[in-house]
This record gives sequence, structure tokens and C-alpha cells, in this order.
Amino acid sequence: MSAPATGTNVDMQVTLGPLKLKNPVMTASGTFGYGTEYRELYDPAILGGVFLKALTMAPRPGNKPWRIYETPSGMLNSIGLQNVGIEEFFEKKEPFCRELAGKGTAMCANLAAQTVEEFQQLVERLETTDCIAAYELNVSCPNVKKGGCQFGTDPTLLRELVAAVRPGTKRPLIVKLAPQVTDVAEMARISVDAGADIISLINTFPAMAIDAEKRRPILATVTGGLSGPAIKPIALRMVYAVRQAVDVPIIGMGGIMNWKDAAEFLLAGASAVAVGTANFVHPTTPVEVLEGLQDYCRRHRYARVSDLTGALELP
Amino acid sequence: MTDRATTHAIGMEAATPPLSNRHFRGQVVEAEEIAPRIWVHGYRLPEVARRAQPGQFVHLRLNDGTAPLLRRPFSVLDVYPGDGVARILFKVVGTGTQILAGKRPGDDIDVLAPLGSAFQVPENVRRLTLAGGGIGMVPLYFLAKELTAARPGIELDYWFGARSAEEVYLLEDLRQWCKRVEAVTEDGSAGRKGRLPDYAQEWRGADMIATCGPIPMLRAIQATTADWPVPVHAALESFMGCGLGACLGCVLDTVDGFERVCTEGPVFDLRRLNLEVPA
Ligand SMILES: Cc1cc2nc3c(=O)[nH]c(=O)nc-3n(C[C@H](O)[C@H](O)[C@H](O)COP(=O)(O)OP(=O)(O)OC[C@H]3O[C@@H](n4cnc5c(N)ncnc54)[C@H](O)[C@@H]3O)c2cc1C
Ligand SMILES: Cc1cc2nc3c(=O)[nH]c(=O)nc-3n(C[C@H](O)[C@H](O)[C@H](O)COP(=O)(O)O)c2cc1C
Ligand code: FES
Repeated sequence: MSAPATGTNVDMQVTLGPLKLKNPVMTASGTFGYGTEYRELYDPAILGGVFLKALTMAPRPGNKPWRIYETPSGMLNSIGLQNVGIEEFFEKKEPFCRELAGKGTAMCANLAAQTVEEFQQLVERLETTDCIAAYELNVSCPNVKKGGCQFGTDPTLLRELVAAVRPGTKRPLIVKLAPQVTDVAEMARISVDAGADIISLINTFPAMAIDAEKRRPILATVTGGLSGPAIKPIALRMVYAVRQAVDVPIIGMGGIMNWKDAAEFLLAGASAVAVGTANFVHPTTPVEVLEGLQDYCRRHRYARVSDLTGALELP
Repeated sequence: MTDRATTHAIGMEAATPPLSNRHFRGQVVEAEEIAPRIWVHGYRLPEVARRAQPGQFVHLRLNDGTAPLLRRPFSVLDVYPGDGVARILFKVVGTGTQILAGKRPGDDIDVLAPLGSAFQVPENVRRLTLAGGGIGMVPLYFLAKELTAARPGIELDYWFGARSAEEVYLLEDLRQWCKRVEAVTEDGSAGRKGRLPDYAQEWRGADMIATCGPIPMLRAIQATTADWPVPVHAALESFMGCGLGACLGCVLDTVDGFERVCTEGPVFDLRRLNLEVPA
């Protein structure tokens, strides 16, 4: 442990292998749009990083309504990767990414595709802009018929995909794991063997809600993905399991509502955290997580927030 | 516009500074059950009172815990800029509205507002029919009140649809602003018997129709008015996440693809909507 830090400034920088963040607080893909949507509430440039809404080569209309529904301490979503497609991203969204990147916020592209080739094309196209700090391969979306979590749940496909994308970029490659696997640590190992620099987890859990009176599923797609505080204990366990299995840094997420939740993820082994569903509940959550973590470090005499990573004291 | 110095007296205390341009902490200054399970709340929210337009909504956090987790959206009923008060009217239908109904004057309320699109009434509209089903009366009440103040001479017809007499309220206010006020109840216990769309032919003379209500009602109005040469605008509902345009959870299908109820809506040109969603 580092020297006591009472009264001094806490060093909030974190280094995730090749990815440097000014602080460990990020926003999760699909919960923060392209950053612009929250501009009126606070300056997103205070964030360590932003995971952009999933991008696909062609625009995707997404799934039919209803797409979201509240469940006990959580929510289901079935957005279906609705997004503007890579070309409109360049026309309309890239300028704001550039602005945030210029202020030192790591803008990470979340990539979704049905084939290995399409993942490669996305990377190739995004290599032409310098505002993207890292790629997050979304191999874990439960809400599309094809290509969603198939890469994230089949070890052979996962290895092939990561190995095929790796040579296309020198930028940090993040693999976002699906929770609906028997052994998440094994999926992390495979990703790292194939060239992943960082593991992020977890994506939403496949789940469903039923209207008993109408004898109908609530969501148009019947099933959706569960997020929010309901999944936090499972997410923590998965981060902890991946920490034991691989040496690369981890970005932890799943139900983070406040700084305390974030601290728990860091202690379990994450080097950074992403706030997701909480952005809908209390939009300034990331700001408060950042302040709270700083305060936590002061109280516990950590000079650097990075000292929290894996600092869990086992019985 | 009249202010309500006495009713809102508690709201005259210094307002909490805004958290941002869209995020406010207000105080409850009025909480009254005006009909069974129907509540009117007034909140001290000076910015919202100044900026909110008919059709726009507020997105309320109901407690600090995680159940219920998400915010709940409510249309603005009306505003009192002089007092810095914005009001909503809501029906208790589940956990969230039950918690809201427990709030009392002096309690704090966390609000994202004003959100979404507003009713746009073209300058040439002389005669406007407002058709609200149930709780769908809320944005139309605000519209009737604002137009009366802003456009002297405009002729308003108000059609209030409900299940029964006990679900018909605020008619006295509406009569002040509207030339004609009609109630339509399913059991005939107040006004005419039936459902609102049954009477749509009587709206023929209007230059514009503004409506809000359950999807089956809107679908019927859409069908009846399909070839009328006047604008038909509707305020829609959907399950909402962020309320800010980020989550893409609240979309409805339109002729131009999926659009967000929280951002492009809640007010849409009714003819642009594909309402084939489970009601
Ligand atoms: C833009 C907008 C404006 C609104 N304005 C008003 C208003 O002025 N007054 C008012 O009383 N209500 C209004 N509503 C509806 C209101 O938001 C819901 O009634 C409220 O969220 C229910 O919360 P709850 O926790 O009490 O119900 P829940 O416990 O969440 O649900 C109770 C029941 O209501 C259904 N339900 C809940 N929300 C919706 C929804 N959005 N669409 C369809 N079914 C739903 C659920 O399926 C369930 O059967 C508006 C909604 C939107 C989107
Ligand atoms: C509405 C919504 C949309 C999402 N869209 C994406 C997406 O496009 N790509 C992705 O990798 N994850 C997506 N996710 C998953 C989140 O990034 C995150 O992994 C998950 O919600 C768990 O975190 P939370 O519980 O804090 O929300 C989405 C989640 C929600 C709630
Ligand atoms: S509620 Fe999130 S986009 Fe409309």
C-alpha cells in the first residue's frame, strides 16, 4: 500500500495496459448515447472515458416497442442495437467525440457485428479517425437474433474473432464478456490469449417479464437484457473470478449506482468502472462516483485510486 | 396568468439552486386528491414554470432507493411563473404513483424537466378541438389554458372521455376557457354515453385536433380522421428510461422509422404513427 494521503490530492489516473484514463469513471455503452445527450446536465469531459452506443456498419432500426420495462431493482431492455451506422457516425457524432477526446476523455467505440469480417471493417473504418481511444468488442448483446452473444458464448468463435480483429489495430482492444456462460473466467482467458488488452464485464443478462393478466410477454422481442442493481452481486463475483484468471486490466460494470458500488468493483479487481442504468435514474451519478471515490481514497489513505484495484482483504 | 399566492405560500421560500439546466430539486407546495386516486401536485420549480410548454413532461425520481428504480414521466398540467410553480395531475396505478401520492407539501422532489416536444398550433387555427381520454386530459388542459391567454378569439371545444362520472374532473376550469365542453363516459354516468372516438364526426368543423389518451383511442381517432384536411396532433406515452434521448427505450414506430417519445415526442403528428403496439 502507498503512503498516507490525508489532506493531499488523490491521484485519480489509472493505466489499463495501453489505455490511460484521467480517472476510473466511465459510462457504459448504450446508456449514454454519444455523450451529447447529457451535455445539458454536466460536462462529460470530467469522465475518464465514455463507451459509445454500439456501432454497426449499416444503420440498424432496432427492435419494435415495447423495448424497456422495470423489474425489481432493475430493468429489462431490448433496444436491438439501434444505431445510426458507421457513416452517419462520422457525419454527425464524430465532432463531439473529437471535442471530448481533446479534453482527455477516452472515447471508446463499442462494436457490434454479425460476422468476423464486419467487426474487421468497423475497426478499419474507425482507424481513420484519431478521436477513438479503444475498441470494445460487444460479443454479448442478448437482444439481436444473429451475431449478438453467439461470439461471447462460444469459446471457438470468440478466439477466432479476437485473433482476427487484433492485427487490424494497435489501439487497445477490449472484449466485453457475456455473463450467460458457465465459466466467465475461461472466456476471459481465451480473449486474452487471442490478443485482448482489457476485459470489460458484464453486459446484461438475458431475462424476461410477463403480463399475467394479458398472458403476454411485455417486451416485443419476448426476452431482453437485465441491468441495474439487481445484477450487481453477480457482476462483482464475475469481476472477481476474471481477476483470478487473467493478468490484463478489467473494466467492471453492472448495477453501479454510487461511489460505494464503484469502490466494491475496484476492490474485486477492476481498474476502472462504467456506470450504466444509473445514468437513467440519477444522471449525475458518474460525477458523484468520481467525487465519492476521491473521498474514499482520502479516508482510507490511498494516495492513488489505482491502489484500490484488487485490494480486497480475504478472510 | 393568475398566481396562487395563498395556495403556494410555502413555495415562496428561496428555491433550491438548480442542479443544471434540466435537473432540479423542487419542493411540493400543493398535494390534493381531486377525485378518487387522482392527484394534483404543485412543485416549486421556477425554471420549469417559466419554460414548460403544453405537451412537455417532467421526469420524477420517486425515492432514493432502487425500488422503484426508474423515474416516472408526467405531463405538465399547468404553470404559475409568478409563483415559480409547475403542476402535474396523476392517477395512482402502481408502485411509483402510490409513492408519489404519499408526498406532502414541504417534501423535496427530484425533477428532470422540461422534456420533450410541445403542441404547435399554427397561427391560422381559429377553431381547435381538444380530445382527451382519461389521464390524457392533462396536456390538453395546459394547452387550453395557454391558448386562452395567448390567442384571444380562438375557439376551443373540449371533449373529455372517461369510464364514469367519478373520473371526470376539472370541468369548471375547462368551461372558463372553452366554448364547448363535452364529457363522454362509457357507462353514461356523466355527459354522453360511449367512447370519445364515437363522437369524432362532431369535430368535423375544427381547423385542428389535439388529442391524448390510450393507444386504442388514438388508433380509432387516427382511422376516423385519416382524410380530414386538418392537422391532428397527439401526445403519446411509452415506457421510459432516461427521458433524455440516450437509451432509445421509449420509441414508437413512425413513417420515418422509430422515434423517441421523450425527444421527438411526446407530441406527434398522429398520421405519422404506426400504432400497432400492444396497448
Ligand atoms: C410522456 C408521458 C406523460 C405522462 N403523463 C401522465 C400524466 O399526466 N398523468 C398520469 O397519471 N400519468 C401520466 N403518464 C403515465 C405515467 O408515467 C405512468 O402511469 C406511471 O409511470 C406509472 O408508474 P407506477 O410505478 O405507478 O406504475 P407501474 O407499477 O410501473 O405500472 C402499473 C401499471 O401501469 C402500466 N404502465 C406503467 N407505465 C406505463 C406506460 N408508460 N405506458 C403503458 N403502461 C404503463 C404497467 O404496465 C402496469 O400495468 C405519462 C407517461 C408518459 C410517457
Ligand atoms: C438501454 C441499454 C442499452 C444498452 N446498449 C448496449 C450496447 O449498445 N452495447 C453494449 O455493449 N452494452 C449495452 N448495454 C449494456 C450496458 O453497457 C451494461 O453492460 C449493462 O447495462 C450493465 O450495467 P448497468 O447495470 O450499470 O446498466 C445496454 C444497457 C442498457 C440498459
Ligand atoms: S427514455 Fe431514453 S431515449 Fe427516451
